[in-house]
This record gives sequence, structure tokens and C-alpha cells, in this order.
Amino acid sequence: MLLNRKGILLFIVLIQANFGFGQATGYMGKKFIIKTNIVNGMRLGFNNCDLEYVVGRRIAINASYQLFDYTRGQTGARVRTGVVSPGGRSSNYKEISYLKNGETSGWIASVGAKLYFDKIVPAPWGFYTEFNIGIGSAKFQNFTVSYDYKEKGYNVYNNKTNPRPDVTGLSGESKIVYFEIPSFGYQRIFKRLVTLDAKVSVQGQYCPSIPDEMLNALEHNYYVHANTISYGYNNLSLGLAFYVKLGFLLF
Amino acid sequence: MNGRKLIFFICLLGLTGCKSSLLIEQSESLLSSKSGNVKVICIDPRFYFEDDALNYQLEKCQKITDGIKKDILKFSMKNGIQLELFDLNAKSEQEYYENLLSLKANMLAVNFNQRTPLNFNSRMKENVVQKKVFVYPPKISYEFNSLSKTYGTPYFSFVGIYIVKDELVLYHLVVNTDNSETIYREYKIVNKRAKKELIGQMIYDSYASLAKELKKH
Repeated sequence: MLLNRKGILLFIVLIQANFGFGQATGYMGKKFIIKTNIVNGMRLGFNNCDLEYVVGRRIAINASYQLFDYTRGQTGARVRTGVVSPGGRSSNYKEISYLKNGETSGWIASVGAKLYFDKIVPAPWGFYTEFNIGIGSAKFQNFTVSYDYKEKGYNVYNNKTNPRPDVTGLSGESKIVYFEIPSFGYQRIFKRLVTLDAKVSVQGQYCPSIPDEMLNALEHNYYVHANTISYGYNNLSLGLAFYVKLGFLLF
Repeated sequence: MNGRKLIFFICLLGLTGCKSSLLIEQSESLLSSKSGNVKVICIDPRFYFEDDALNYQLEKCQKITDGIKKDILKFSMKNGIQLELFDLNAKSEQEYYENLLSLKANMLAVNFNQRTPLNFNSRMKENVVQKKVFVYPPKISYEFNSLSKTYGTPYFSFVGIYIVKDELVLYHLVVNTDNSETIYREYKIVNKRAKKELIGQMIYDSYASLAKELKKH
């Protein structure tokens, strides 16, 4: 893992290597960039504002505030086996529960650091790796859970079984712990004012407190699946993110 | 991808992604100087292609050179260096030819006589900032000793931007006419296309570095 002793040592060596080479010139003396996403791998309605400040020849620190508000349609299914379906006489069924139509909204505030690879052309120009960590809050509103059943050994739905009634109007709130595994990106400056920043990363959102009423009905956790490609495990969601950010080099 | 693979991948990118290099050489007299004088005369900065055929695109070369001159004036001032730029123009007088142009020719000649990245195919270390002190600083002719009285400073410089084998090279040279020494020599090689934004950044960075050396005493 990145947080083991070797990972920490590597991080310290990289930081030290930067400060060994002196001054933070920025780009022609300009060190402060404000930017926002113009393309992202996130769900629609994901808006953000990023601030970046160059503190070393290769290092910049950044702060970001993201607002999100999205509806996912139907999400992945959860399967339980050996259940007795409502009205059924056999326990030989698989129950499949679907999460539908809920709206997830909230915010994430994060801070981080960028390490630029090029020691000759100073930051904020060129290829870089970035690390971010932050906190946030999410609201889940109007989720519906519906159920289907399959008999063991068959892949077709048993339409004769009366399904459990849908559970509607599920809502709740959760705190979020957000982190970004060191990413890879490239930033370029045009006309001494406009910046274009393209980045690929793996992001994680950890929701330590999914509301009980949601957990009970869902039979499984719900994550802040802000990334279009993501994978959830326990309370943690990991997702692939890509961005193109348009910014302005202010001063 | 697990953590180890990710670290390896990032390190690999860090090592392979950059083919730029920077070499700054300074004289001991600059390092031990206590003058605090930050006035510099810049003589006739130029832009050159390695291929002479391209240099005949006079209009294009002149346009880039004009941009470089503006950047030099702007960024030297931004870094607290009082810079005066002298180049060949309609108002150039005998003094320009007799003093400055011959000084420029002399300082370029003594430095080109050394083994440098510009006149040899020797490669500098990639993606490393190298700072060195001259063992024997290249000496210019003593006939220019009196120029410091005329121009109010002993520091005279030349800035050249070259395109060599598709690489962008900045060559920045500063001499001290009082002791006839080359006090500062910088080669910056960037393996990128010669964009106006990049040339400006290289010039800014060079003056930031020079100002740091001149003003720290």
C-alpha cells in the first residue's frame, strides 16, 4: 500500500528533491490559478472550483470545492439466497433487490499537493502527479428499492411469486471522507493567461454513516458513486475519474 | 493496480517524461561579490535556427527576436534587475559598433572556445538542475575595462534563443568588464516546441535565477 513505510519515504525523498532546487518562480512570476471542470468523468451536475498556488519549483498546493447533484436511475443489484419470498412456500429463492431513482446531492472540500516532474520548466507547466484528501457531506433522497426473485438453479424470474412491495421515499444523510490516489496529469498554459489541465485519477469516497433506514431497506450499503466507473466495497467506493479543467492564471 | 505498481508507474513517468536540462555556471567573483549592483546591459539578444536556411526567414526571426526583447525588458524589471537593452537600430551610433558589438563578439568568442552544449554534441544530464563554479572563468579582453564608467555598470550580457535539433536552447551570458571575467553562463535546453509562452517562461526563469545571484550579496 501507498501508506506503508516505503511509500512515505518515497514521498519525503520527492519533496526534498524539490526544495533542493530553489526558488518558486511560477509561470512568469504568476503563481495563482483558478479553474473549473469543462469535461469530467463524473455524473452530470458535478460542479467544482479549484485553486492552485505554486510554492516550489516543482510543487503546487491546491484546494477544491465540489458540488454534486445527480440521479442514477437503477443501480446495481444485491442478491440474497435462501429467502422465503412473500406469499411463497419455498425458501429456495434468490431475492434480488434494486436501488432506483434516488437523488444524491452534496459537497466535497479537499486540499492537496501537486508534484511536477519537470525540474527545468518550473511549475505549473507540464506533467504532474497529485494527491488530494478532503471531507464532505451527502444527502440521499427519494430512493426506491424493488425486488425480484429467481428460483435456485434457474436464471429466469419467477413471475408467479408475489414480490415484496417496493420501499419508496428512502432518504438520509452521510458524511464523506474523500481521497484521491496519486493521479497523473498535464497542465499547459496558453497566451500567458489560460490554463488547460487534463488529469486521470482513482478517487475514493468513504461514507462512514449510511443512515440505518436506508441500510435496512437496501440490505446493502449505498455509496456516493460520483464516478461513472466505480466499485463499492463496504462503506468505500473507488472510482476512475478524468478531468479537463479550464483555468486562468491570475497573479 | 496495487500500490507498488502505482509507485513504479509514477516514478517511470517522472524519469522518462522530461528530457530537459539546465546548467548554470558562475564565477567565484560573483559568489563573493558584495556590490549589490543589479544594473545589467543586455547587448543585441537574438533568435537563431540551427539550420541557416531557416534563418533566411528574416521576417519570422525578427518577429520572434522582437518578442524576446520585450520579454527581457519586462522580466528583468519584474525580478528587480535594472536592465538596459542595446541593439542595432536606426538610432545606433558609433559607440554601439565600437564598444558593445565588439564586446558581444568577444564574450561570445571566448565562451564558444570552451566545450559547451552549443558547440559540441555533449549532452547535459537530463531533468537535472546543475550549478557549477568556474575553475577558470572565461576571460574577455581587458580593452573593455573602461565600459563600466560609460554605462554605469560592469555587467554586460547576451541572451540567445536557439533551435538546435528540434530543441529549444536558451543561452545567457553575463560578463564583468571590471575584472574581465565571465561571471554567469546558463544553458537551458528544453525538448519542446518553440512556443511564445515557453520562450517567455524560460527568459523569466533565467532572470529570476540571475537576480537571485546578483541580489543575494
